[in-house]
Amino acid sequence: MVSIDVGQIAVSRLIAHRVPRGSTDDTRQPRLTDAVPDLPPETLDFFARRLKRSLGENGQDVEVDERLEAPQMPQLIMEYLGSGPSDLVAASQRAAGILFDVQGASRWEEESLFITCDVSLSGRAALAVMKLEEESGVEWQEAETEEGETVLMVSVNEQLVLTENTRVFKSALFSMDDGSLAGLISDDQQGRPTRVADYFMRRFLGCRHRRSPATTTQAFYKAVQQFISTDVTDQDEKFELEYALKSELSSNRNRIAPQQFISDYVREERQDLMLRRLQEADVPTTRFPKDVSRLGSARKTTRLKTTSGITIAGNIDEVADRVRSGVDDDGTPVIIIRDQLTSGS
Amino acid sequence: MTIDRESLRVRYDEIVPKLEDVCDDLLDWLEALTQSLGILDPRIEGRVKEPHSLILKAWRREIEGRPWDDPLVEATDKVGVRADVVYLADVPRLRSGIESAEDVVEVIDIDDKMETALGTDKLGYHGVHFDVIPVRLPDGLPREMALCEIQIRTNAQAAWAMATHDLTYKPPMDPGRRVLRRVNRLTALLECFDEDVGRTREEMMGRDGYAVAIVVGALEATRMRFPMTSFDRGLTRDVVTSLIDEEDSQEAHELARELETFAEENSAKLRELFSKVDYGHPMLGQPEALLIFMRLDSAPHALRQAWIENEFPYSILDDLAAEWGATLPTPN
Repeated sequence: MVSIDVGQIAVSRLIAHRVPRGSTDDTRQPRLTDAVPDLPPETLDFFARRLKRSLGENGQDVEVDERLEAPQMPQLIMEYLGSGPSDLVAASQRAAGILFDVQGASRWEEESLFITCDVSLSGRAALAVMKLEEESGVEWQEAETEEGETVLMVSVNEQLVLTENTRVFKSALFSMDDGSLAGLISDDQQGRPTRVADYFMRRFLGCRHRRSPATTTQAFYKAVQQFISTDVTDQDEKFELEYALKSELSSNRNRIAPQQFISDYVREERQDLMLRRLQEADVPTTRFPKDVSRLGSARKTTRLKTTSGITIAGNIDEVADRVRSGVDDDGTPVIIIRDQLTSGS
Repeated sequence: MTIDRESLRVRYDEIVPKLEDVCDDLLDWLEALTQSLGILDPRIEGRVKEPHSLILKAWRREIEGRPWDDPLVEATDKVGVRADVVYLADVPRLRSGIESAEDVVEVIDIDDKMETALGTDKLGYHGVHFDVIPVRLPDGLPREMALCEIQIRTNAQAAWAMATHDLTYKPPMDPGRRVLRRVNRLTALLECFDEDVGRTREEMMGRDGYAVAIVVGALEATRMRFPMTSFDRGLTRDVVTSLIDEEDSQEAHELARELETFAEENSAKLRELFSKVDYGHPMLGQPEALLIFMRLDSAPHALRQAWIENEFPYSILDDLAAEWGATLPTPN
């Protein structure tokens, strides 16, 4: 379960630095700023809303990766959160330096904006970092020509960094939870969530998933199976959901979006029930990376049982395609399998 | 047999802390029970009998020639809890709820004054009294000493009982015929009052828009505890109408109570969100944002369906969900 309620995020101040990719000749360096800008509450709220949306929809629970030797960022964040009135400028400058070091060199001049936010979670101190790529945006403004005609003036702003649909946007939020650091990390690429880049999660932030994607995927699979067996009584609905689950797990998508799955495949009257079942099973309801390595072949096969004890087992797609159930003219339940027997014993 | 005051006090003092635990448990249970039954604004209170009251009662019974062998066993009201309800119709509902809670209390005796002492031709106090033994008892409290009393009555009955207790129940002197007659007249008024309040309520609840009005009222009252601005009441009514069952007044009252609890439990978060009312999302100023936030926690898919069915702009719900930190699926 996500231990941080992102709905509580309020940004009280922030500071930004420009962090380029390093060059082989060491000519590029982070361009650090020296003071916290005095920003209006609307601007601070804009950043809070972007953090809420990104972490709320795609945030993945992380913890400090104890296997790493003296990771710098967790130490920095814990010092910052634990030391009363904190020096945001100094902490953010150190963080920008760490990011610069782990990004590695590039022949291209790529520069990103690195923002550190002082966050309050309903009074609990937290720290957020955001890494944004600069992009171009179009601005327009209504104007009037000398002849009195109305025109729409269009201009290109080359320095947009954060819009509602910012192209590349990585963010993380940390707070202390029972003496240890709890965090959420998300990585949005062109509006689509993706697996968090290793350099960002592990090398920069010194973190790992609190539960591995394989464990989370397995927990999701088990929770849905449990829901199908205990909360769904209609046989057709059971099979539809089973088929949907296994299709989801076999698909090429690299993420599972539980809320979307519920909305797409679970009947309306049971959608909130299934959501509760996932929560009870400690399965995230935000999107998470899919890893089916622990499911073996289970995700591709299905077993149907009849009231008389006959079992129909096979590849889920074949069963969905060839097996039909219904009733005949006198009301007797029938199952039709369109296939050919090849052996018997 | 004469009561040994000191020995009784010592023995009673030993079990009083356990009786206090029993009393707390019964109060918590009655709170939950009335809430689950949708009983409006019950007043629930309880106490453990003071040692001197128990000793005095034991003496009085001796004087009256009805002595107790062991007051710790025979006194039925060592723990007394009471639920005063607004409406007469809630009395039998609560009675039935207590009778069916076999996993919480074993009902030893029920005294429904209307059914027993009064019948059809007498006037008087007509609450319902239960003698019960809780199923789960604190360690060290013998079952035979755990007899408790539960009373149910209406607020009007409670007011009458308080006003007339000293005059007619254990009075220091004979009140006389005229006083008793006056008290009886009041009792008749009491019955009329309770019945008319009940009928009025039923009439109100049956009127169109009652359920919506209850929820809108609760939303406005709750929302006013936080930073506020002017809002569009018509919009509030439209959204509430689409999100609740307009016909179900009982559900509306329950929802009003849930809103209260929700606002208390999420007070810091709501305060922070509503502090942005001047520059944040315009819906943050609307009282129905509370209902939306509550449903995002408890039933987000039903909320989403209702929103879509009513053709409200999905982006508004999506933005509020993001503000609340909830995840919604994208619309189909």
